[in-house]
Amino acid sequence: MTNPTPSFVRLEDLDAGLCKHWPYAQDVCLTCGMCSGACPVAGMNDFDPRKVVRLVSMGMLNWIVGERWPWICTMCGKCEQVCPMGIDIADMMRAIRALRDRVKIPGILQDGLANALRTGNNLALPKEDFVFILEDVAEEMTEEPGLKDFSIAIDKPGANILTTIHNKLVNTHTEDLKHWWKIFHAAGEDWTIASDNWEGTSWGYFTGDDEAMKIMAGRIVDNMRRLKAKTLLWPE
Amino acid sequence: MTIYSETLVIGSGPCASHVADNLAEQGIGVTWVTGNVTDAVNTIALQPPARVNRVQGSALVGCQGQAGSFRIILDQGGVRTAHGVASIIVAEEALYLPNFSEYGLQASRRVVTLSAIEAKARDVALESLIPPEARVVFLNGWRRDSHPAIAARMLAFCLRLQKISTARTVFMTGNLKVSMDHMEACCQAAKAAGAIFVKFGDRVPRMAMLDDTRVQIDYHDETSGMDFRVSADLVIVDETVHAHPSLAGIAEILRLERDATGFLQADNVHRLSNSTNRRGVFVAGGSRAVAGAEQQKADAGQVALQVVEFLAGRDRESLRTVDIDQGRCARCLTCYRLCPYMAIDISPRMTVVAQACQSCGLCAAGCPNQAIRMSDAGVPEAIEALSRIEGNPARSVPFTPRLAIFGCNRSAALAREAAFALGHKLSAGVTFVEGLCGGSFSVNHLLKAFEADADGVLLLSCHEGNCHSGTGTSHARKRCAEAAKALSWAGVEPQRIHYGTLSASMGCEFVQVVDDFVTRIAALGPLTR
Repeated sequence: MTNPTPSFVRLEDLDAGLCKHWPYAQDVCLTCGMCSGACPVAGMNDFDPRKVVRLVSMGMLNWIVGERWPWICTMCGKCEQVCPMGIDIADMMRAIRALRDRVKIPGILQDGLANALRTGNNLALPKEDFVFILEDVAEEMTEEPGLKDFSIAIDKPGANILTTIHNKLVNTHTEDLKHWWKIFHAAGEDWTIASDNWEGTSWGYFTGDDEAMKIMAGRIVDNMRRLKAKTLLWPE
Repeated sequence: MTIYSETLVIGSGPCASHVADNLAEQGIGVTWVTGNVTDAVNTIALQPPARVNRVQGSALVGCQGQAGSFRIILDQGGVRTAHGVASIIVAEEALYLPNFSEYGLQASRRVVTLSAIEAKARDVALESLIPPEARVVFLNGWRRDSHPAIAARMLAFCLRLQKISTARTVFMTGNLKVSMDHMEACCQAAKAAGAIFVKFGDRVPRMAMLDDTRVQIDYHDETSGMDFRVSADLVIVDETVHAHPSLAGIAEILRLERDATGFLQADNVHRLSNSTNRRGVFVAGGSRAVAGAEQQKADAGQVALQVVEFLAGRDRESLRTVDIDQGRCARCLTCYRLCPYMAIDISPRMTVVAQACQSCGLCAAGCPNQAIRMSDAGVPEAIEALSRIEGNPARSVPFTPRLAIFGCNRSAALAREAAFALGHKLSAGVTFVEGLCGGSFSVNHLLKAFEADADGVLLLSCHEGNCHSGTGTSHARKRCAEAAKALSWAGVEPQRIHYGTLSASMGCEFVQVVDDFVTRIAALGPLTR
């Protein structure tokens, strides 16, 4: 097997100090590889967390921002957890995402985020449909033994818990609503769901779009104020 | 015999200076010989403290006697003087040689050694030494790790350049071990200041010379998986730590062991801290490859403590007395040649000098006329005990061999204890004879065991290179071979005697070796008369 002539990156062409002021402590990396070992998508597209940290400390953003890999990162945070030097790798990944042109981020995320900003949820699901789905599943629940008196409260003021909703729960995984509803019911919890801006899956956070993230978080805060709930539950 | 009080310190640099100071502080008189090294004058400018007699520009040219009573001869510009010292410390500096050949480079205005640029930077400002924005590449330990003291200096200079000048540094190293004081902090500070660190593991970078004499370095960065190319305006090459050329002569005069690279301690686990093969002779600093200013200072303090212990006679448990029976002694000088510790005085008569003796028993075992007795040694007695065993249960059916196992007290005896502590048992019929050293068993001892009805003899001693007396274990091997020859002349299978090595921690292996030997001897059957 012949090795192709390597193409060199000339050090003169790099500005190694480009990311010097990034606050993720990337320069203390020991290259121990624990992050890559923990990462569930390490090795895909020839990338791993350690390589990303390396490229950032070399100021080589052009070699990462356009790549697919920062977008298949699941943001699980295992890399950060195992890093012996305390480098905020997942945060760094988000900063890399933030550098990409908004019209160039993966399509599904673009659409979902646009929906969320326009309608308050990633699916652009109208309010009536949302409420209908919830009430429909709740009625199914009452047919189960011991749950005859189960009911959900939408937009209830003064509840103990206001919870956000992951859009899949009112789309492809409606059955999953029942699991945590049963727990709340058994605990005798006093909880509610907002009928507007109920979306918990913040793709503003996920795509590194701080402005969008603030808007979505702001809407949830408004819900809290409006409904005067005591605790916000945001399972994301 | 006269016991002296002074200590001789040999060395031309800071380490010897620290040793002299430390000893003087302890109230010990020091004669400090700076050697015929010309830069000794530059490095030691200060007046030595009281109780230190510094003999500038002098060298050790002769030494007789043993610990406590060394008679040395110094040469100062052709004038020779005699002195008596109780102990000797060799604390000569190490030699730092540039590592150009490791990188396939030659010295030039763009390729310099660490020491050279450090020296220049002491005299002139960095700005005049390094062009603005220069790309400066540090080459540190490629195929072999650099000495930590050298790597520490490389890092410190890299940090200095990166922080104080406009230079853009790249630190290229095969490995980055930050074991010395402040190294890790230095490394992080250098990175924070913008130094680029490249650690390339197995794939060594390639060098090429550009037309304008700059050095082009192509390297593969394993972490990113990418190939990089850098054109260096200046390359700083690391150094290797070598034994000072004067050590060869000193070793010969003092009859000291040297390791493979010429430093004054054998690569032997028993040469702890600053000890050499001779009691009363110590080595410190660059003479035993300790480098780095703080490390040398610490070593100087450590050796001073050892000397204090030695002079107070507190450095060992008990002195066995070793007597040479003058009636039997033929002055063949065998013991003198055998003694690894130079503890035998030959005039006016053959005597073992107690202060220098380290109780190995090589002399007693080697004396052709058995003229040497060690108090408390026990080997002849143990062999006598072998023959006095009556109604031997080992002569049973099936045949259980009677074995004599000779073992040295630093290896086999301890391994045996370890085995017992772990709950192992040896087969019946095994008798253990403990000796001071593998070399303390003579051919006669081995053959006497057969005379005492042993069916097999096993001799176990320390691994080659790790024998406290240096040569004991190889004497043991040769004597087993001789005994085997004697056996075959007598019509006995030579396999009935076997030599092996092991260490004190090898309890399980000890049992294994004995069991294997029992099996082999059992197959041979009892020793027929």
